[in-house]
Amino acid sequence: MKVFEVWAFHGSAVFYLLTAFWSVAYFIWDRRFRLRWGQTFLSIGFVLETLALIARGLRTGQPPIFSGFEFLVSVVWALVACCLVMSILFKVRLIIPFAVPVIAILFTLSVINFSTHGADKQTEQMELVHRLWVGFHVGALIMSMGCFILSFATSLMYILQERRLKSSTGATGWARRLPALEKLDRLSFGSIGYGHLLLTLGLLIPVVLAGEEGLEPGPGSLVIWGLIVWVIYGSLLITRAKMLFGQRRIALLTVTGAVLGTLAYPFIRFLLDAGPRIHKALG
Amino acid sequence: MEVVVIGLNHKSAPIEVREKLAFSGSQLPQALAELNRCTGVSEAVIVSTCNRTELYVTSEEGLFGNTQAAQFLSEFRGPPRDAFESHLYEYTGIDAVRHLFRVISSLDSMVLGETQILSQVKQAYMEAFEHACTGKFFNRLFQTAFRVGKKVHTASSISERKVSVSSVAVDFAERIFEDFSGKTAMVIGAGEMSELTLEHLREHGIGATVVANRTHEKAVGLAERIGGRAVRFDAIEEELSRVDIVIASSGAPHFVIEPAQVRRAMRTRKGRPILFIDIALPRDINPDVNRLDNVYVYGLDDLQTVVMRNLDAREKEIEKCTTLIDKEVEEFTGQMRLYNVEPLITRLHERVEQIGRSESERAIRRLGDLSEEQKQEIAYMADRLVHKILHKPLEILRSDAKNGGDGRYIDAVRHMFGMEEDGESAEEEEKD
Repeated sequence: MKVFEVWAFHGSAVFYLLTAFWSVAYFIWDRRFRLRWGQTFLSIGFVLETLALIARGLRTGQPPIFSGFEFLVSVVWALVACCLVMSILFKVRLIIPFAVPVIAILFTLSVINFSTHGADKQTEQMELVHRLWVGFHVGALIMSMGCFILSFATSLMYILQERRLKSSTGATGWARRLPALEKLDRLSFGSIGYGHLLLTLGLLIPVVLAGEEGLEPGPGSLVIWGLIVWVIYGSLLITRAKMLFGQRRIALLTVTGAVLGTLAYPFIRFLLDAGPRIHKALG
Repeated sequence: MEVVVIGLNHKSAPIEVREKLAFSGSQLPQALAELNRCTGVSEAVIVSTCNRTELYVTSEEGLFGNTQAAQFLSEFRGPPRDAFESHLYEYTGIDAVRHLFRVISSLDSMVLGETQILSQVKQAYMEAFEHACTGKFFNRLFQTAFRVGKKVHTASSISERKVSVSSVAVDFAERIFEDFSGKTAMVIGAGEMSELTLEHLREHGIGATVVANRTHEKAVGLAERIGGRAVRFDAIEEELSRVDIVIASSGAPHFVIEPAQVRRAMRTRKGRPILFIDIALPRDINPDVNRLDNVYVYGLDDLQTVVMRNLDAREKEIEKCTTLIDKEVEEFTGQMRLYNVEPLITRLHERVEQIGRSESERAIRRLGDLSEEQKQEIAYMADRLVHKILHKPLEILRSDAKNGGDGRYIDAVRHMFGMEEDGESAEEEEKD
């Protein structure tokens, strides 16, 4: 089982890398690299990763979402799933070359995590991970991250499309395949909506269920970060639902929100880890 | 037998000539029947569009040419021969095949890369096919041509970009709005170009239309004609908060829409985008309006720049398409030559096989008392001998035919095996 799992992870990595190379080629040479190819490479990688995750789950007897490595590959899995849904159901194939850089970064981080800590590193609280609600809690958080990354990619596409339309010369090259502004806005809004709902569930589950079991979820860096992201995307959701700004500004805010959300985590870690030491040193 | 194309198009003849020689749909069956009755013609297809009238025929070499075609067109459509004969062009053989492939791929069209010609030629072919005016050769030629036409359009981007001002305007609208069904377009002024753009939008399913004109009666007239709603000219600002696309061509000497008006409208619109297509000269919309968020303004210059760029892009694809067509022409002519030589190959095979069979039977009779196995072995030996002897000559015949050889091998085979008469009778059969 372990051989199959390793083989499938490596296979998916190869196909994700192939998608990444294809994306670069697509942006440079446009038509010669058809969008369907990227979708096919990504789909094969996704199937292999799904098989690898199932194999890992069966082997370890727990959902493959608890160690650092598992968490990152699961985020990649959720993101690829969202990309494929958008590409196949909503016919926005261009989302693939836009989202692939994020996929590549996350996959590289997973590989680094794998080599630093080892893929088989068991979580410290083994008893906890066997509880069903913990699986839902982490799963919902992973899916919400996939949705937020997707909203970031669609908003980026919106900004590019908007800039090209404002230039009055029309689009050339791959930009001709950018979807309509209205569609990008709708997809971004939908991704934020679903992402926020999943994040809310992911944050509420341990508050309700851990409390019932007598466990106290402490204010760790991840919890604080989750709350900050919840506030950022909650504000974006309200702004978009009530159309407090025009679509362009909302797209800009979504991209800014995603960057701030990402930067918030290392900042919180720094404050929690180094803060007390600095205060102590200052006296 | 050779394929001949005689006709005229937008490059060779002015519209006054073209319109006199165009065939209407109801005239085609009779025209096809008459063309098929011309001396030497065995297959016929008439392609008649607003930009071309072309007669495609297969005929005995030299029997159907410019003179016969001009005679036919003059008799059937009326104008005297000297009024159009000098505008006719003629292609035969491989050039005729290439011309058809170019026509169907729209390389010969007035608007390069337009896709309508493919369905027009298909319709012309179907008409001829249904009236039994096509035979084996044309069926094969036109089916190949349709495949080539599709291939050219998919393998190149010749038909990808819009090349008319109104379609480019709609293209811009499609980049802003996902679906037109819930959208409203407002026309300011009742010009021809704005009506054309509106027509394009209606084809794409625009939900509702509003017409505003200085002369309200004109607005009412146009609104009634297109099934829209007429509003007074001074109600334009109020409408801006509701409509999604504005097509302006009022002919007013000053700007009709100013940034302040749009800014006020955008507050009510809550940031929903609005598209202005300004095709008026002088312009109706102050260009500063484009500086506002979620507002997009395209003037005549912008649209024409895109049209020119798209035309350039299409022209850049010509070389690619021509290479593709040349390859297909070569492939098709090779196949046709092979197709023509196949009956000779079959007859040669049959003749030599017959000799082998009769010689093996004679040997079996002369050898007398042989077992069934021995008889079969002798028969197999004769078969093998025939196949081995014929293998190389037939291979040479096929490759010579496919590669466009001068036919000396074919003549040699006919001569050596005494098949000259056979060949002629086979050609007769083909004709029937």
